[in-house]
Amino acid sequence: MKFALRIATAIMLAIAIFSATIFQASAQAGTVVVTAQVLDFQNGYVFITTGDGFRVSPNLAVVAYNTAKPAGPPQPRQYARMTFDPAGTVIKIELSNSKIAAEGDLAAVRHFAIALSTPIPNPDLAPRTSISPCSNVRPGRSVILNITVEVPPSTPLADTIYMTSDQSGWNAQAYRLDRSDSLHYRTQLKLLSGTVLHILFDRGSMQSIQVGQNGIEQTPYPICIADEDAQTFTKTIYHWADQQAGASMPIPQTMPTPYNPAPFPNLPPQPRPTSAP
Amino acid sequence: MPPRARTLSAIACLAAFLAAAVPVSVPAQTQNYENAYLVAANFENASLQNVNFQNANLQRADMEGADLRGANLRGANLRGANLQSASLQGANLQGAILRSASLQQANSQDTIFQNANLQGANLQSALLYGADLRGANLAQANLFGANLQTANLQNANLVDTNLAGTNLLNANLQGAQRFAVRMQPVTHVMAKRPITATVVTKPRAVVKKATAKPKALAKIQPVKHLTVAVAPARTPTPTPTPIPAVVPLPTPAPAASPALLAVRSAPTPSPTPSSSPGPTLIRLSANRVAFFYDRFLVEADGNVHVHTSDGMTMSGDSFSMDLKLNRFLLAGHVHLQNSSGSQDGAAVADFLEFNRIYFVPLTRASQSATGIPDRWTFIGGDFANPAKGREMPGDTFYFPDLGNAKPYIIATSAVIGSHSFVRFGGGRFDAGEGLGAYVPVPSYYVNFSTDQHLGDNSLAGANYDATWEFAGNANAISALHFRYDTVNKTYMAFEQHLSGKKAYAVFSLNPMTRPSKFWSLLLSDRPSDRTQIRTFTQLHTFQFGLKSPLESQQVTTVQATQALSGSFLQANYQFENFSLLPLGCYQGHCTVPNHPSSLFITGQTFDHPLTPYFDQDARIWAHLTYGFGFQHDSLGLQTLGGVNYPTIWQHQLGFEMYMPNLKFGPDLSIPTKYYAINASFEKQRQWNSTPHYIDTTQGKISLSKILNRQVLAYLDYSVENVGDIYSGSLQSTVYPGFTPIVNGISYPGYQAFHGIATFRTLSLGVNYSNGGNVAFNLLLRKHTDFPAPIPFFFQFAQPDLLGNSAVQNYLGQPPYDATADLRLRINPHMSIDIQRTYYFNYSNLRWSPQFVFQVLQ
Repeated sequence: MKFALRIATAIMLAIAIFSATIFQASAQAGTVVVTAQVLDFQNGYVFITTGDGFRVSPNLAVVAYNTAKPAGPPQPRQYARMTFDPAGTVIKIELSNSKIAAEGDLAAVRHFAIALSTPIPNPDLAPRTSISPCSNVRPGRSVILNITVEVPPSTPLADTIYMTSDQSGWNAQAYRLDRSDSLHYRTQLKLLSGTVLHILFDRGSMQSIQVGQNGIEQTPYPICIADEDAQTFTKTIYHWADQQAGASMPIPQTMPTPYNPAPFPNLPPQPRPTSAP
Repeated sequence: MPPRARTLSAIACLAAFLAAAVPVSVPAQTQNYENAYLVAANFENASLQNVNFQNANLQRADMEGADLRGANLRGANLRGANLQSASLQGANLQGAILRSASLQQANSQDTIFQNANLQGANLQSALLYGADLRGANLAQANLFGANLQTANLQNANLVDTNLAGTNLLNANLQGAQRFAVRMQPVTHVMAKRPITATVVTKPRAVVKKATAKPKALAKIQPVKHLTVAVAPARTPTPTPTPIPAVVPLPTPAPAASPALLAVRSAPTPSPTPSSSPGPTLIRLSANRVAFFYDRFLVEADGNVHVHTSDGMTMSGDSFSMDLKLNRFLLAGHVHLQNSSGSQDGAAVADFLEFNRIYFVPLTRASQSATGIPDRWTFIGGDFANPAKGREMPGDTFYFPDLGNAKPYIIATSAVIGSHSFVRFGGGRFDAGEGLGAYVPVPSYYVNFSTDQHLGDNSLAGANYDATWEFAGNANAISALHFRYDTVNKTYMAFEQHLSGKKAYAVFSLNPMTRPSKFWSLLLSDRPSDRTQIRTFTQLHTFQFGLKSPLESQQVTTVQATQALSGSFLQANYQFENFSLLPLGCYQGHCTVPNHPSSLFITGQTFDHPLTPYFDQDARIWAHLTYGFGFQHDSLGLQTLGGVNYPTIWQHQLGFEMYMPNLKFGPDLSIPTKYYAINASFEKQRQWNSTPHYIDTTQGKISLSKILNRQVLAYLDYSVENVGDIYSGSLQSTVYPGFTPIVNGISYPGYQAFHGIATFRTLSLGVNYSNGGNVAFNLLLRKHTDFPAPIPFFFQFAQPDLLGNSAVQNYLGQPPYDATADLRLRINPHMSIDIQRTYYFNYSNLRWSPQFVFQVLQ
């Protein structure tokens, strides 16, 4: 009996040791790791930029991502590598001020997020009938914007055409266009997707800005940069404000010139004394 | 050849060019865009009749007003395309993706939309008479006012479609799925067949009343004539939105924490952009406020305090605002406070544009000592009744990834006017435009409004201009300019802008720190959308500091424009005082007594196509100009035959025709596989009360080719003929022929010049651009003029500071010139442009006097 008891104790001990090993292994296997950006850390919760708040363990380890040394409490904007235990509690946060490689799936930890109210759908997020290319754009992608404008045939051949926009505080000479033939000018810009800008074209000053076909000032054209490799924008300019129907507004800081009824302003007087300069 | 015959010959040559070009446009009639990549292409008002667009990618293409009659759009992707007012009659859109496309007022009569995906499409007022919409997905489409008479909607998906005001007379709705269709008043429905199997089958029925039944929305009665039925407005069924995974709730829902009372405007039912009369003001202070100019981001960290003009006070750890998207985020130990209450939380995001505030509160009223997180949405400023648990947009609380970008401005406070300006207090700005060379300033203003008049300037061009906008608000800017140009060297200028809804004013003093000063005032008023009055007044003084001026001149121009239905009229009045000082000389600066004035009233018609049936780009457009007026100077404008003319009356008539872009080549859909020709011709005659008239005739033709993504080349030929024709023997009196002798060399060819000149220019241009970072332009020109240029005889027309010539053609222009222009983007904020011209040693002139150097920001 005593022997049997000893055997049974040994077996139970072996089972206990085996179980503990198995459970520990499964516990480690149950942890989830994700990377995210910190929104807030307070009152036993860490919030990430998805808006989700997660309960943190009382024994939370906060370390620097690069050095693994203990770090201060998480701050907004910091990037974090967070380790969740199987119960959904954050047990470790590794912090970095620079972006860290993406790891894990945030959707996989969404069910650990704590929220008092039951989620309800938001009708605002239903698809809209907007035709704006920016309505569903993924911002931040570098996009080449090809701009081509057709100028009025009266545009002097040697004139420079510029683009002005609200992105440059309506600086009349912010973007210079290149002539592509006698009626067209073009330029290429690199802009980030999601950018919305309003533009107009001019010949170097706001006095020589384009006007509409009816001679009245032109409303700026809106452009939205969508998330694609390249985008094109083409417009026709009908008139310049300083150059309408044979009349012109003076350009700032050009001294007024007296009316000269002759069409050749630099006609030499006749006969002209001659000498080399 | 006599000059007149030469003129006629030039005109005939150009006409021949145009005439020869016309037949080339014929193949353009049968364009083939099959499988073409035409994303965001511009087909505005284009004639695309019978064009084949099968399987083409036309995403976001602008086809507003385009004539698509008979076009084949089968399988084309028109997602987000603008087809407003386009004529789609008979077009085949079978299987086309028209999701979110705008077909407003489009004529879609008899168009085949079979199986087309029109989900969310805007078909408002579209003419869909007889259109084949069999199996089309019209879910959430807006068909308000659309004419679906006799349209075949068999098996069409009309879930949540807005059919308010729709004419469904004789439409075939058999099997169509219509769940929760929005039936607004004034709905015409006459169905040939029932909408669903549960509806009474009667031919030509009219809806009298919508019922609450989900599948049988209308009670149909047989009538003989179409009548207007009034159906009660129904509440739209919420769109099925994916619900996120259920979040475990640790505690039962407790009572809400002390709520903030409503302080903003009344709740709005939908997130449409608000159109508030003035901007929302956000006053921000923090340990560090940074502004990133290239992305219009304001980022603040440490002890952040935010006060909004509607009385809300917030504090937190970090703040981020996208000025263009008009939304901000405050995160980290957030505390919200207004006069009625307060609430703590983790983050708050205010979408000002849509009157939505998204908040992650920590509700302390629960049993939990630490508070429980939640998600609240304040709609339309209603803080008393937050929508709890409501799903939020995915990027609500996202911070922008700034990488290693250097801020343009670093400050400790800012005032932000939504959609208009931001004004920083007590900081420093990066004078090196991205190099990190920070200069302290007491304040800095940045305007980002869409009001271009706040950027309207009255300053002349400069090689470099650094602007410090030191004060301003939504309607005004005060700025100091630090400038450099090759004439004035370094100097300062001051500018004041004022802008309202219809009017604006700009005042400037430039250069402020040089004796030759220009005081300018620009005024503009637009009393209606069709009328505009602008004035420009400039006073020039030569004075040291503000001492008595040694010179003073003034010019004022008043310009009034009136738009008409197919043309516009413009009156220009200008008067000048060449000296405002008493006659005499002041330290070597002598006065000029002239004070000329002029008035001219002109009219110009809109461009009209002379060849309307040609392809849009191959059309020849034309307009007419006409006008009359006078020039006056009491001291005389011209002496002719011993008579001094103080006033000259003038009238003019002219026309201009042009062809913008005629393409030819093996594949017109691929830019590198075709050539483009454009040509223009203009003729103007101006009659004067003195016995002469001036004829100006100009023709241009150019051929261009895109060689690859970066390189483009063009060849351009222009002929300008200017004739100053006097009656009878006066011609040889005004323009006597003579042989100039310059440096001992005689030029007998000039003897033939009697007031008629011809300027011929052949140009070859190449430009290279690598996506906005580097651009290089080379322009080679050969001038073959009559009279031929004579070295050292004619005055050389100097280009301005920026390399532009004030005149297009002039007597004695160098026979050859080559201009190179290099533009380099040195950082996200700044480009440098360098230009110089070589004149091939004409009149001892090799290079242009100086490099044209310009900093573009």
